Formats: sequence, structure tokens, C-alpha cells
Amino acid sequence: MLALLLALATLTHEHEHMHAAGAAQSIFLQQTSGTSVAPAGEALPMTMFHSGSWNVMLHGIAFLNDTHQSGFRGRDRTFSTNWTMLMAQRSAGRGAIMLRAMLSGEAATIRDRKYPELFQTGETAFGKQIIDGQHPHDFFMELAAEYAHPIGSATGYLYLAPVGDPALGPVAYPHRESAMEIPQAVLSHHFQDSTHISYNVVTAGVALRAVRIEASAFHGGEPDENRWNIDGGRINSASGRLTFTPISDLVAQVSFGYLTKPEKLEPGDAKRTTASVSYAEGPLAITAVWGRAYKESHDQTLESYLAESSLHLGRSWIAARFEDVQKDELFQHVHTSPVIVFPRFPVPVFRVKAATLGYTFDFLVRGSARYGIGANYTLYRFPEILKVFYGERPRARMLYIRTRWGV
Amino acid sequence: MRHLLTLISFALAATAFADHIPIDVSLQMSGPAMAPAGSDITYTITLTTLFPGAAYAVTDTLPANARFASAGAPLWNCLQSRGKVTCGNERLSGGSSNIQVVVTAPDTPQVITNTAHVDSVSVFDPYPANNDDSANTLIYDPAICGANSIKALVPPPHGTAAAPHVTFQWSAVARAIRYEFYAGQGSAMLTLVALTAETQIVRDFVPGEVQWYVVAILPDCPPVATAPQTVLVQAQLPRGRAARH
Repeated sequence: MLALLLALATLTHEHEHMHAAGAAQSIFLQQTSGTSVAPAGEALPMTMFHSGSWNVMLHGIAFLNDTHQSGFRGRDRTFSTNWTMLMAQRSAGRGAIMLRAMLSGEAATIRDRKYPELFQTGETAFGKQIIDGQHPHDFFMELAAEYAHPIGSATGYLYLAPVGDPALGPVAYPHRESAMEIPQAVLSHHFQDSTHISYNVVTAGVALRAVRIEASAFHGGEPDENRWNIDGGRINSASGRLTFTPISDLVAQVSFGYLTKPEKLEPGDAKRTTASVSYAEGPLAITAVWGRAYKESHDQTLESYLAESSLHLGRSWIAARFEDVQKDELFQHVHTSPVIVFPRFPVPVFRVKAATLGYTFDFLVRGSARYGIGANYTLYRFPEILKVFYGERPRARMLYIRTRWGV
Repeated sequence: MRHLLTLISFALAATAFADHIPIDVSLQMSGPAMAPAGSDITYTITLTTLFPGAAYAVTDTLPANARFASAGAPLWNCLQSRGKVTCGNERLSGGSSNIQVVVTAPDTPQVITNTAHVDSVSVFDPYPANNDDSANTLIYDPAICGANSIKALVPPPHGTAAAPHVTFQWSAVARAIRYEFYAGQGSAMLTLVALTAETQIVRDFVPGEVQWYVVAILPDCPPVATAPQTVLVQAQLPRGRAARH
């Protein structure tokens, strides 16, 4: 009888462990990059399999793009944007552990350390600030481990990443379902979600029902031009994020970050504030983001707004994006300064609006992969004074072949 | 000493880190004061900046009723749209840079105004008050104004006159509002000596050679001038000696 009771107690304890571990593992389910939360309705395609006690998931996306841009600053280029993610998770005692690696081959598939994108700015190429171009992502986009553990009715989690995504901003655009059928970067990237590749990230958070509160410490410098290594760097920046999920298909977040010297060619620190709402249900995914960046070097605050959506109907994908962003780096710096020079003066800022409409058709669905062909077209509105630099009506069109794997 | 060091360090910082200090740019516009109706008029916009490398956009609001003909300058990219010419330069070298804008004048007499403005688009401009300038041009009818002429009458060309009171006379010009009398003696430059509404004037000169000319100022035509004249002013002999001779 005693043996039977002991066996029953052990089984009950294990069941509780499994239940607790399941609750802990559910923390990972909606995380797509770092600890940022995507709506549960986002049908991110993933290949899942088991390896021992590990649940392994794989997915990724790659575009072969051909862009043609008109106007004085327009450029044509063929290049590939791509990334893939491998994630494994298992229970660990009453908690759960998750390992994630996200890799990109863009350093090899994008020439000249950038691809052309009108009005896009941020980071450097060959020692100069990138203007009208987007930098490739680092080979190591994320290498992270996360442990989640029940704390009463809540779940606490700790995220450690030599390369990772701190608790700042919405789900980064490469990983948002609403953005995934538009291969080019968002113009607001460096106001909203550019910290998705940061170094030495430590995030601790608590999730209780519909609310998650988390804080991060990390190195605030943007990646350098060597896209193949892990830059590292002293932990010198911090952020915090409050995420609210009133229903599983709707996620809202507000976040704030203090970034120590984020830019290579710009002295001073930056503050970033973001708020976003994402909704995904069935074939529809919608995201709206507001991002504000304060730059200490010029004592200036810049605003950005983004709205985007994707609609998946059978083999068709319709994607749209609208942005309204203030740009302060559309011209090369005269000289760079390693320190802030006082008194500080504002630099000219230009408000740029861009609207993109795209369509992708999946011409082949085979095994765990989807192959599509698509195009998108972008219109711009900008201050009159920039017409002499950009032309009267610059346009950008993108033709692409896309594959998603892990269906 | 401490103030001197502060000044030196600020100057060094200003030189080395120009992106983080203001760079003043100034604009000046020049053009003809008068031009015949229907003719091409060239305006020159001059930008001056101390530091090289900054980007600028110049907007020239063309005169109403004038037609755009051309615009440009080396290293400047210019666009014309809806009565405005915009020129951009992404890395202006230090010193001065000129942009020439050519318009075709209207066909009827009037005063036209050309206005230009410069925007610093890459660095802060601390003194925007010197970023604007304009030029007025009187457009005249060459058929009307071409008939205007003025001739020197007295003293006759290469004639003589007795010192000291010399009388100068010229022909009247219809609708002239005034005459400007310019004169100089010896090697002196000719200067404005008098303004008059009459067609003659008396001025005192010592013996010697005198150069002179007259300009007639008209309300809606270019000024017309006599050809430069020379008169030899001679000493007047005493009346008694003259009688003995």
C-alpha cells in the first residue's frame, strides 16, 4: 500500500512538473525574436520535430530581389535578403529551456555592404554613413538561451544572448508576419526595432496572464561592418517593455530604451520610445508602430509611424506598408566627431512618407517549402526642397522570388 | 590664459568637427537693372560659405510673366517647376559658387523681381537672415526707348571755352526726368558734378582740358548718354590787354 501511495505521489508530482513545465514552455510560443511577443494568430510556418526530449522548430525565408528605382538617387540592384531560425525547447524541472539560433546569409548575398532603398538610413558601409540604402543583417542575428520558470501563478523568464534582441520595440520587421511579404526594410527601422541585433543581451521578465513586464541590459552599439563575427561589447544600455495581450490574437507593447553611443559616426547616446499594436487572425496580420528617437548629439527628437498588413488568401499574399518618418541623415556628414560639441545644434530634418503595395503568388508548395513570385511598388512623398536631390517623383519597384521553409 | 585656451579649443573643435557646429551660408543675387522686353536676362546667384562639404538647396522664384530659359552651374543639379528653379549641391566646396539662371523677359514694359533663397540641408545654419536676396529689373519697350538720343551741343566737340565760367549745353530728351552732368579735368576721373532738369549748366573750371558727358534719366527706359566730350578751357585775357592786342 505504502509503495502504491509513493508511486501515486511520484506520478502526481511528475504531472505537476509537466503542467508547470508546460506553462513555462507556453512563454516561448509567441516569442519570435528575443522575448518580443507576436499575436498567437500569426501563422508563422515552422517545421517541428522531436529530438530526444527537445522540441525542435525550423523556419526561414529568403528572397531573391531585383529592385529598380527612379530619380536622381535611385539605383538598380539584384540581391537576396534572407534569414533562418532554428529553435529547440524542452522542459527542465518545473521550468523550461529554449535555445534559439537565427542566421542570415545577407553578408554574402548583398554587395557593397548595402542594398539600394530610397530614403533609408542607418549604420555604415566602408566607413561612411549609409544613405538611401539598407545594411545587410549580421550572419549571427540571434544566439540565445532562455529559461522560464513558474513563480506562483506567474512565470518568470531569463533570456541570455551574446547576440540577441533586448526588450525594446515591437517584433522586429523581418520576423513580423505583417511585414514578411515585403522584402525591403522598413524606413523606420532605426527608430523602432533596429536593436533586434544587439550584443550581450540579458533580459529578465515576468508574465502574468495578459501582461508581461521585462527589462534588458545590453551593449548599445549597432553592429559594425564585419557581418560575420559577433561584435560583443560592454553592457552599457538598458530597456524595459510592457506587453499586453488582451486576447491571444492582439498584442500591444510600449517600451523605452537608453542606448549608449548606438551609432558609429555619431557621438552621444540615444533614447528610444516605441509603442505598437499587432493583430493576427487567420489570413490577416496587421501591425501599427510608433517610434521616437532622441539623439543626444543634436538634442533632437525624431518621430516615426508605421502601419502594415498582409493578407494570405490561398496561394496569394497581398502586402501593404505605409510609413511616415523624420529623417536626419539624408546627406553625408561634413565631418564626424568622436565627442559631442557644445553648444549643440539641430541638423535639418525631413519628413518622408512611403507607401508600398505588394503581391506574392505561391507558384509551388512542396514539402515544407513555399515558393512564390511577387512584386511591390513604393511611392514617396517628401518636402519640395528634396526634389532636386531625389527627382520629382522617385519610385521603387521590386520583383522577387521568395521561398519560405518550415511550412 | 584660461579664456584663451578655451577659445583655441573651441576653434579647433569647430575646424575638426564642422558637422556639429553651425555653418553659415549666404546668398546674393545680381542681375541687370534694365532689359528690353522679350530679351534673355541672366541672373547670377552667388553662394558663399566658409566650410566645404555641406549640402545646399537654392530656390529661385522666377519673376512673374518671365519665362524660364535655362539654369545651371558646374556641380549643381537644377530643376524647374511651376515658376521655380531649384538647384542642389550635395558637397559644396568652400568659398563662393555661382548659379546662372536665364529667363526671357516679358513682352510688355514692367518691373520684374527675381527672388532666391538658400536652404542648408545637411548642417545647421546659424544666421538665416542672409539666405535671401532679390533683383529688380525694369523691362522696357525697345521700340519706344530706342528712339531716345542725346547730343552735346555747347561747347562744340574739341572746341574751346574761356575760363572760369563754362557753359555746357545738350539736346533735350523727351520724358527725361533729370540730367546727370559728369565732368573731370586733367587726369582726374569723371565724377557726377550736378543734377539738373535743364538742358544747360554753367560750371567753373581753371584753364586746361575738361572731359564731360551728360546722362538723361528716363522713367521707363534705359538712360541715354552723350558721347564723351573734350573742351579746352583757356585763360581769359584782361580786357585792356586784349584791346591793345
